[in-house]
Amino acid sequence: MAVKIKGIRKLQIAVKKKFLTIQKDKKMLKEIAEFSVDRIKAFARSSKPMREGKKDRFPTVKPGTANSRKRVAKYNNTHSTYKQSGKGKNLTITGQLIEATKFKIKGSIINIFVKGRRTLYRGKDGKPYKNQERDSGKIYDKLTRRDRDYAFLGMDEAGEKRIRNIIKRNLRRLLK
Amino acid sequence: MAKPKIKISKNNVEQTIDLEDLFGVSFKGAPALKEAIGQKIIDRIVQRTEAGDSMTFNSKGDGRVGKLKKPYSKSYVDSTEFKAHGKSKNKVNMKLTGDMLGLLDIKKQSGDSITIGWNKGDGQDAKAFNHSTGDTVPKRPFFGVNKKELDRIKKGFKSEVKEALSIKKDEGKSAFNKFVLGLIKEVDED
Repeated sequence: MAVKIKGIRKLQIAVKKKFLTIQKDKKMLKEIAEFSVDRIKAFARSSKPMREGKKDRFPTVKPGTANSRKRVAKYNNTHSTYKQSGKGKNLTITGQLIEATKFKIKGSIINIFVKGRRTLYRGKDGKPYKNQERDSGKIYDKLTRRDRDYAFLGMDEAGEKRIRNIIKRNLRRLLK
Repeated sequence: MAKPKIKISKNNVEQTIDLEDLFGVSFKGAPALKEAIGQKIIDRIVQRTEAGDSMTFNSKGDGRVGKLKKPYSKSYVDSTEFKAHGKSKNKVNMKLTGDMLGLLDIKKQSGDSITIGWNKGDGQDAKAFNHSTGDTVPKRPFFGVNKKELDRIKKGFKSEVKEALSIKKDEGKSAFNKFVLGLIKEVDED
């Protein structure tokens, strides 16, 4: 394969080295990485899982979780895609977890992961709730261990085709 | 030069460009150039659409550049998908996931012609048809290039075409092109 995509907790996109040997810089890998991160964020905010063969929406949250989401939303700034209704399938409240999706390029491999310190949720009195996890990566890890259906790192079939198109477009531009 | 042939139906939206007709020379021995010109045509459609410009063809096949209908509808703007993809109400660019423009490709190459469109199974033909004709969505035609745009692309390739089709071919360059063409083929087949 021109590209090899694997992983749930850490997504890895491996571009075959020979497709890079004639590229002068890492521009193409950066383009693939940015495209992938943007797609992952947008899909996750639309509650769409990336994994093939899975339902086309994240599972409905439990009533207890839905209530705590409402509570958090009341006293914190919510993201524009936060939905109080809609059976709470959307992962987003403040949007920090999905926003923490990042990439790193090493050789011909693009690693995509969730990482970064977050602003803690605050309660009615304006003080942060106790025992909150600060690291978005650890939250994502916990979330996917508990329920793999909420995993949002991945790439769908159309996304893979678009990565191939990025490679083809870059190769075609080298033709003299 | 004849007008580029455009087909717009529910399961097939494509445009075929006769390069021999455009450049006045045969492209049979120049697959690399055909591929490079094809990509330039795709780039033109994508750039124009992203800039908010439309392309409308009349019954005679003459294409005219205009503006894509603004703004997006309120229900679309209010949808989670619209917000999730970070779109803005007045910037009409035919991109939600970006798949329609991102999957546009050189669909076919035969003899002196290239066909631009979507591969079967990509599921984009129906979408492009609906936007082009206004079926179930507001009409926002964007597909295809007109004669003027092709003339501009032709100008950009003038020296390459002359060089590639001359008797004295640069051996090094043609070996390089052959290598790149092999890689492009492999991206799809692998």
